[in-house]
Amino acid sequence: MTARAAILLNALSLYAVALVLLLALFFQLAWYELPCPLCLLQRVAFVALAVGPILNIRYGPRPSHYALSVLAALVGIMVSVRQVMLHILPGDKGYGSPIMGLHYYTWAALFFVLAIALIALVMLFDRQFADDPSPPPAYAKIAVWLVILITAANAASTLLECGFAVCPEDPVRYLFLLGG
Amino acid sequence: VDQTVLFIFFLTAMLAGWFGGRRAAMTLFGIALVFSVADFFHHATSALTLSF
Repeated sequence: MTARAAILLNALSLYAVALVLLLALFFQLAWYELPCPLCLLQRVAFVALAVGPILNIRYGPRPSHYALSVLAALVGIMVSVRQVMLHILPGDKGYGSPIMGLHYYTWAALFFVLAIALIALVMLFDRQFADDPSPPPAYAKIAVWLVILITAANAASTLLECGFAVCPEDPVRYLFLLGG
Repeated sequence: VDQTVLFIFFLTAMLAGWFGGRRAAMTLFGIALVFSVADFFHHATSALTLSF
């Protein structure tokens, strides 16, 4: 796999992360389902997952950049599996509405495991690390700025939800708008 | 506010990386990841309110 092909895959991974974060924001706004602290931490892990691909696109693929994404995915697995365990007892309806039968945190756990598997597969191809880095193509730059904008939107949304306090375990209103 | 700070940390890491500060980006990423794990342990041990 050439560096150019690896950049394409890294850009696609950024679009995937952007889609996941946009869906989460959509459900938050459309269904008025405010994310709990563990839900927010999973969003943070998705954002962290994007730092590696951004560095790969900017400086060319390097194993250290992929390592950042693996570390982010491990944190994401830790948080999402913890939330799955919190709602695993029979009769527990879970937190929030299910999407295609699974809750957001279950999808998140699957996504993080898949991310590690895909990163391992991409890292099998050594040639990408030997090629000289070329300037990032337009589609990759758009992916980078899309993720940056969505991350800023998440920061603003979390500030609105939690204000300057620690987020409540079961949030039902935007505390910042209430002067919290 | 804890997660807001984490988002801002990672946002800063992205911007630093994109504008030429690779080392700064990786350092910020490391700090933010450690804070993320610490924040997780804070919330992971919260009392569980069963929903049934």
